[in-house]
Parts: sequence; C-alpha cells; structure tokens
Amino acid sequence: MQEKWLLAGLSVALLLGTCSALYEDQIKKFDWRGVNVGALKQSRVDLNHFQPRILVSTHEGVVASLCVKTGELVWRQVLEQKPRGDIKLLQVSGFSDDSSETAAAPMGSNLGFDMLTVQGHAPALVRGWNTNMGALEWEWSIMPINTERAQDALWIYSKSVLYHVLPAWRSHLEVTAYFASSGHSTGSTSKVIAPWITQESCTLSGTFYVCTEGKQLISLDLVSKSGQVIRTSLETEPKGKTQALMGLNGVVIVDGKPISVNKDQSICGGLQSSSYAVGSFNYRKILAYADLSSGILRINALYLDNCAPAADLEQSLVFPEHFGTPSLNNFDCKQKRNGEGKNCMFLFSTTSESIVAVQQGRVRWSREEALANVIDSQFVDLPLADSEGTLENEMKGKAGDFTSFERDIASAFLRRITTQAVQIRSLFLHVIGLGPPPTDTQRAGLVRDSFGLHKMLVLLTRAGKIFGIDNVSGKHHWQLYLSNVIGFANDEQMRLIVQRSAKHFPLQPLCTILGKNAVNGNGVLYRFNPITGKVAEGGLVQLDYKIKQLSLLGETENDFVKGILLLDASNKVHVYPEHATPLADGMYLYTADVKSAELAGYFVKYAGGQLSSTHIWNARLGGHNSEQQIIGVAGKNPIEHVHSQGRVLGDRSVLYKYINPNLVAFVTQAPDSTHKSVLNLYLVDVVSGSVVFTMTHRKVRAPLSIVHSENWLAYSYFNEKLRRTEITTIELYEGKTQANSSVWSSLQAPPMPLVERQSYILPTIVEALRETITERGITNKHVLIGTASGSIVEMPWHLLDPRRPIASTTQGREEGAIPYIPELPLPTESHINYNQTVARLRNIYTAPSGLESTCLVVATGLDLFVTRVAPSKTFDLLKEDFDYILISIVLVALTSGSLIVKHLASRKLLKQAWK
Amino acid sequence: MRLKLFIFTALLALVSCEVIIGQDELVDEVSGLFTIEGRVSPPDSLFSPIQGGGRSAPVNKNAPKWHTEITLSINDGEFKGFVREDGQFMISGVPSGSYILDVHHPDVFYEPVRVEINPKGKFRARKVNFVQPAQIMQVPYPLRVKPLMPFKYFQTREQWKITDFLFSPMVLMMVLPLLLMLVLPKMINDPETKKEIDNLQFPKMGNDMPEISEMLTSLLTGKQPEPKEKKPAPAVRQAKKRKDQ
Repeated sequence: MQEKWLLAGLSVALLLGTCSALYEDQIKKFDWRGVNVGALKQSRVDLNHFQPRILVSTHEGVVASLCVKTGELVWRQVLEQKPRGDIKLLQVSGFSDDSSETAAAPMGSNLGFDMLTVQGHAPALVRGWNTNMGALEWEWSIMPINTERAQDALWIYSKSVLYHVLPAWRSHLEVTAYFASSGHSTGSTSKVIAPWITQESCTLSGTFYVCTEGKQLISLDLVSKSGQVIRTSLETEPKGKTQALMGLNGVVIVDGKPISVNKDQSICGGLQSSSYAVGSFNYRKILAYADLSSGILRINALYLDNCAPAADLEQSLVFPEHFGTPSLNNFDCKQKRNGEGKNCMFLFSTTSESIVAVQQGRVRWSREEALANVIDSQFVDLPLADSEGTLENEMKGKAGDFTSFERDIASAFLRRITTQAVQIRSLFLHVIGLGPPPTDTQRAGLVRDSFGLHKMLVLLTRAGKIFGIDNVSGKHHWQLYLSNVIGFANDEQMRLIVQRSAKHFPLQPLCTILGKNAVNGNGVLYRFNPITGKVAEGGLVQLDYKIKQLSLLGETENDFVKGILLLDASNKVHVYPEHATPLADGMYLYTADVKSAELAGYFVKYAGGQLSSTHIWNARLGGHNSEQQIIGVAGKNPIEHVHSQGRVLGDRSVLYKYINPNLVAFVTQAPDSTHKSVLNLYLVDVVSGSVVFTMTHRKVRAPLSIVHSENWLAYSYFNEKLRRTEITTIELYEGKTQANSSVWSSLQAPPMPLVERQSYILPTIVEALRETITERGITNKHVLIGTASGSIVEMPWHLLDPRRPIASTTQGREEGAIPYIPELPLPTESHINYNQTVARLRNIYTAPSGLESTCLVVATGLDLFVTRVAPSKTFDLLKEDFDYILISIVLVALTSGSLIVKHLASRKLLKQAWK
Repeated sequence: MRLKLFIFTALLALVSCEVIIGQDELVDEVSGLFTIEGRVSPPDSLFSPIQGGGRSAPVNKNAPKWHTEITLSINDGEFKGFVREDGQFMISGVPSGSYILDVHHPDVFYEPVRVEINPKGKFRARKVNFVQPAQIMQVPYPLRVKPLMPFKYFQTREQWKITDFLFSPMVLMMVLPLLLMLVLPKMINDPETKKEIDNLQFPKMGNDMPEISEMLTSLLTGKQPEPKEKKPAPAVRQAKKRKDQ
C-alpha cells in the first residue's frame, strides 16, 4: 500500500519536475560558467617542458595547471575544505632549492614524482600528482601527536626527502624526515634546541630556519649533521617580517633586501625591491625583481654568478590600476640552443587576487581570481538607447499629472511632432554618417533589450574588487579595486547597494559599496556608476564612525536616490546622502549579535532637523545559560511582490496568507548534553519585537541554509540521529478572514498565525537555498537548491508544500496538493546547470527580469554560473521552437481550400439550378 | 618478487603505476584515523559494452579528463579522495564513524555508499537508504564504485511528424465525419435506399446551403445578395420535391 503511494507520488513529482527542463540545443545560449582557482599561493612556470604549463597552488586549496598562452585551466583539483585543504608546500620535480637539481629520483625507484603537495596539519596529507592530466599518483599521511602545535608546522623538500619541521616556541624544533613518495620515516625525530624562536620572527628558507633577533639573524641548517648556529648581523633592525626567497637555499628578504645566511650561497648586494624570484636564463641562474611605481611596472634581473644585470630581460609596462599591487611569484625563460632566449614569462600575484602573466613588455593574460570569493551581487538594468530615452521623457511628462494633460493637448501634440522630427533628423544624420558618435556603453552593446533580460551583473568580491559583467555574454566590462576596505565585524561582509536604478532617464544609475576601513575600522562608502564602472557623486567617502547596521530608505523626490540609513556603534543614526534625512522619520531598525544571540530594536525619529534613535525592544535568544549562537538570519527580499493573497481550499473557501514584511527568521544552535546539538528557530517581527513562532530541533546541526519568502520559510539542516539532510518547510496563514487587506501594521498586531509545517528528506547536502523572484510575483515560486556536488536543482514549491496530505483525502485532491512522500526526488532534468557544476557552491542570487515569467540567477562559489529560469515556463513568450512554417502552411492551405470549395459549391449550385 | 617488480617498473620506465600506497597499519591504530580504499570504474566503462569491444570503439578524447572531473567526497569536502590513473582511490585520515561517500561526475551517475568504520578499524560498506536507515544492504569493501547511468539533463525537442499530425484528435475529429459523409453514401448499392437518403438529406441541406454560399460570395465579392431572388428559391425547390413524390 505504501509502495503504491510512493509510486504515485513519484510519478506526479517526476511529471512536475520535467516541466522546466532545458533542451539540449539551449546549452550556453543564456548560461555561462567562469572557472576559478583562487588567489595564487605558489606557482611554477615551466616553459621548457615538452608541454609548457604553469603549475599553481592557491589559498583556496586548489592545485591546477594553466595553459601558458591563454591562462586557461588545463586541469584543476579542488582539495578538501580548510583546514585540511590548506596547502603548505608545492614541490615540482626538477626544481629544488638545492643547487643540485636532482629532485627526480632515478626511474623505477618508487621515489619519483611530477609534483607533490603537502596540505593540512592534523593529519598532514602528502600527495603526488601527475602533472599532465592531474591524476593522483600516490598519497600518504601522518598524524602528529600534538595536533595544536602542528598548526605551525613547516615542510621542506630536499633531495627526495621531505622534512617536517615542528617548532615548539621558545624551546626547540623537531625535525622528522620522510621519504617523499612513500612516507616511510628515515629515522628518528631529531630535536634541535633553539630557545630564541618565536612565531613572529622566524621563517624557513630552504633548509635554513632563520629568526631575527634585534639587529641580527640567527639561523640553523636543519639538514646538516653539525647543527651549527649561524649568526648574521644586519645594518638596521628589521621593521617587517622576514620572507624566504623561493629557489635559493638560505636566502631571506629583510625589508626588501635579500640577505644570505648560507655561506655556500652568495647574493648580490645593494638590491632593494618589493618582490623577487629566482629562475634560469641561458642556462645561468638569475634573480629577477619587480617594482610598481606610479602605475609603471619595472622588471629587472641580474645574473647570480657575477651580479651583472641581465639587460635582455629588463622591461617596463603600464600596469592597470585595478590589479592592485603586484608581487613577482615566479618566472621562466624559454631556453634556446644558441643561448639567445629572450622569451620569458613573469607571473605576478596581486593584492586584488588577480594572476597576471607578463611577457615581452606587456600583459599577456590575466585571471581574475577574486571572483572565487563573491560576497554580493546585483543585476542592474542597462540604459535605454537614445531614441527610446527621448520617448521615455515624453511619457514621463504625460504621466506627471493628468489634469494638465487634458488642458494642453495641443502642446503635447507639438512635443510629439518635435521629438519625431528630431528622431528622423538623427536617423538621417546617422545614415549619412554625420550623427553624434554613439556613447561608450552603446558601442559595447550595453543597451536595454525589449524583455529586460540583458543586464549588468555587478559582483562584489571579498578582496575588494568589483566587477561589471555582461550577464548574457559573460564579458567583463569594467573592474574596480578598493584597497583597504574589508567586511564588517560580527562576520558581516561588505554590502553592494543600488541607490538609483536605471529607470530614471536621463539620470545615471548609482551603486554604493559599504565596508569598513581596514586600518581604523570606520565605515567607508564608495559610490560608482554600475554601467561604466566610473566613480560617481564623490566616490570614496571615509565616515568618522563605525557602521553597526544599515537600511535603505525610499526614493527622494528630486534625484530619485534611495538614502542609506546607518546606525553607528554608539547607536546614533545617520543618513547618506544627507538631503534624504527627513525620509528616515518613523523607520525601525534591528541589530542581532551573533555571539550572544541578542536582538535589539530601534525607532528612528526626525524632529527639528535632528535624527535620533530610541531603543525600543530587546530579545535574548541565548537560552538559559547563553550557549545559543545565531547561525542564520533570513529576512524577505524587499523587492518581492505577493500576487495572491490567499489559497483556495477544497471547499472553495480562502485561507489567507500571513504576509508580514517585517518578519525575520533567526536560527540558533548550541551544544547540548543529552541531545548533542539543539537548533532553535524563531520568527520575530523586527518592528515590534514580538516572537511570532518558535520551533526546536534536537540532535540536529549545521550546515544550515534558509530561504524566507511570502508566507513561507524553508530551511535545511543535518539530522545527526538519522544521519541525513532534512528540509523543514513552514507556511503561515491568517485564517479564513483577513484582518486588514490593504495596510500591514506590525504594531496593531494581527492575531497569531496558523502554522503549517512539514519535513522532508533531501538525498544530498544543501549548500544554498534561494527562491526565484519575478517582476510581479504572478509566476510560481520555485526554490533553487545548491548541492554539495555543485548542482543547482529547481524545486517547485508544490513539492515542499507543508500542506501535502499524508493520507489521501478528497480535500487534498481538490486543493491540488500532492500526497506526502518523505524523500524529495532531485530529478536530473531540473538541474539548471546540467553538467556545468559550480565547485564549492556558496550562494545563489536571484533577480527579476523584465519578463514576468523569467528570473535571472547567479550562483557563486569557487566557480561562477549565470543563467535564467522560467518557473512556470515562458508563458509570456512565443516558444523558441514555435513552428512558423507549419502555421503558414496551414493558413495557406485553409485559404486556398476555402476558395476552391467556394468555386465548386457555386458550380454545383448552378448545375442544380439547371436540373 | 619485489625485485622482479622493481625490474618490471624500470623496464616500463613508468614511475607512477606501481607505487605502494599507504602506511603501516600500526600507525592507523595509534592515531585513530583510518583510510577508506576502493576503486572507481571509469565512466566510459558504461558505454563500452554497447559499442562492442574496447578496441573498435572510437577513442574518447575526454577520456583522460575523468580523473580530474570525478570527485569523491565525504561531508561536503571535509574528506576527499582522488583517483589514480588505474581508478584506485584512497581517503586517508578519517576518524571512525559513519559517512556517506559521494561520488560525483558531471555526466555519469555513481551511486553513493555509506561507509562505517568502528573504533577498532573494521570497515563496513552498505547502500544508502535515507528513508529506512535501519534496513541494511551490505556491499563489498574495499569499495568498487561503478557508473550506473549517464545523467539525462535535457528534454528532447518534439519533432514534427506527419503521423503525429494525422493522429491528433483534432484532425481525427475533422477527417472521420468527412469520410463518413463522402464514402458511406457511395457504399450503399441498393438504389432505393440511395434515393431515400437523397430525398431525406437534400431538402435539409438545401435550406442552409444556398444561404451560406451566398453569404460567402457576398463576403468575397462584396455584392449584396438581392432579397427578391432569395425568396422564391425555396418555393421552387418545394415544388420540385412535390413533383418527385
């Protein structure tokens, strides 16, 4: 019986699921994917391999091989999440810090490798990779006895042996050697007494452990048997931290100067630069260094054996500002038999997390790895074409007020005639080639299309780099880099806000970024035009207070800018821009402290030209011993429209939805002695501070994702007892009558809502949840589920509906609800990104398009995926495969048929008449 | 034996293939961390039997890429395994517990496996069943992960076929009565019944037909039908009918 139900339910579900699948010929038609690796950590440019490549390891825990010519990925392996995936060492065979380049062991000795990585600390994993195809060759791991101390462990490679260096601060160093590719220990751990070592002052350069102490460097050769302490005196006391110079054994960089502590390794004196790298050129070792000064990047090099400058390699180029400050990571030169190799490639990592390859005095290619950490996104409408702009102006004049329109119908007619005349003139001028040149944005094809599907996707990244990307083609139109701006306290990221949309022609749209100054912690505002990427209305503004909370106000009347209401650390309120201050009167704000799980509500009042805030309510969600911490907050999308106010039941009565725009969901989690972990959900009206609904889950833990929209809420979590991911859905209803259908007021609180709830099993780990959103809210809402494997699954709300009946009732059937089944299917047809998976999927953003049926989607993570979805199919568009030929054939056939029949009928009539 | 192996590898000059994986079992027990091992069959093993033998099958140019495309992960990448050229994988440093090993390839479906490791280091692998966790279906360990089926992400477009058109209900509804109307009268051989039918049908049709045709002609030619002509017509026909009788 149960199975029968299951089958029935499944078939219904499958039917529903297939309704929104893609066609195979739609691949890449309106979706694209960007593949990233993350900010560069270590790299190895290899131009002399039979297959030139660049091997990289990144801060995101990725190892990859890049194509030398274009910078595209040849292969990529995404390692574990941090801390396990934190790459400590990347060693490529044939490159070693030692002068004897015999890293590759003899063939067949079980000790060879192409490339090895060491990652994590407890346990530390050592992996050997095949660099041609990215397959694993071997793997071994060690588990240190003291896991906490192991965090500071360092690894070095020398002559097919890996050394694990474990410092015990202010005491000693433990050095253990392992055969690199087998993991067998070569002997016992040796202890080196070194009471001077501290975390801040020491680095490992090749096999030398170098520490600064006052005006001298104290170093130890960890590999040599003698264990001699070498002291090198410096001219001045170092200001910054010492850095190792990769590629030279026992050379450190102190305040931009390379200093050798190894008596076998000499280094040229009198050098001063921000970044160095070692490589070989014409079979001689060279030291290259690069500096950026007033926008010009200069690369210099000298031979290490005689300190003569290598003039062939010197070059300078204009370095675009949006890359930030570069630092030379690695380089290589193509070796030629006649010794005239000039073709060198320099690989830079920059502060804006880009990877830039410089060759022959120009930027050969660059990779924007900041996109691996997108923290906010907005879709901005493109500007109108000029001709449409004037038309818009005219319409606006009409819509202004209707009474005046009635009166001067003559002037309106005149205006219409003049605009049309102007249009004809401009068209004529355009044809003969004398018209005004098209603007930059128009030349770039950035003109609004008739359906509003073509938009500018503005992405804000954690590194402070902002991108303007075409959502259809994926082209990067502009980049901006904000240095020294970081996210807020309380784990809040920077924010990207649209202050003025593109609707107000001829005013340009305006975006604002809110962040925190990295130096003094005060708030920072940055205003720019999202279409051109140019600074607008003052650009960077340094505030003299810390931002605690922010909110958007309504539009001002004169320039249509939405003001930003800011609450500072001392609970004072500010509005930016200032002329929007009166609009803040009567606003409510709330704050939530993640650690203590405390909520606070404020009321903003404008009186006598002064803004003031009053603390009006307080809620402590911390539990009786304040163990609970907030792990999730979800409000509703402020641009959401709710089209249907209720739900028609089986008996034709209406169940009205409880649509409270001020409702915010808070989820807290705390460890528990009996239930392992407890999760609490609170639905709080953030204006009045009243708790509308609470729910507790026991033996349940993060990862948690929430989506909150209209009158419903869905959140996923991991059930520890049954070891599976579950999703709980809640719907709120006012009941059969509606308290006030026109205005919502949180203060005249309506009665507590009726709550419907249900839980389902999801056969995957959920990374992100998001609802689709459309212009008017008429289209059905689907929930986009981002899974751990990087797929995005479109799930209709019908399937998540908490009113799905458990037993088949006529009432349920009348309502159109599907019978309950515990496990929700994830049919492959509803994977909107088919095989274009998004590695480390973190968030999904949605935005309405100009078409009611269509919703724009961007999924972020390590990769980026942009597409559009139509939850109720494109009901407002003619189908793509609409058969124009068939319909014209049918039309022609019908008309000709009717003509022939008419002729025949008249003949027959005539014959009959003659009878 | 070991020496032989050495020579063999030296001859092949392949460094990668015969490397010994793993560590002494002893270390595992001390640290309380274990290694999950197994082998993944490449995704094209799914297609090769259909194509009839590996040799005649065309060489898939994406074939070497599957090592980087496939991911084996536990707890959303907390633990990960990577595949060697021969399909073997290992996930090292896993504490005892129960895990779901997700094997994900963008184009081919692999079934997830639940792996349970007890604190003594005993492994048990079983099928994943979320709905009834108590139901145990064991699978062999070390794991052998095989591709199940290719993912079907796309809907197939409807193609226009003449049969679809002919058998659609609309066409059937129009064509069948037409056939009945035209063919049935001719199938009746008996002249008397034929006459009867003629007599029965035509008067009725006659009442409507001229009007419709006239309307059509008037519409198409733009001439107004003259009412005077119209009225006598039925009378004539009625007279004719009487004559026949």
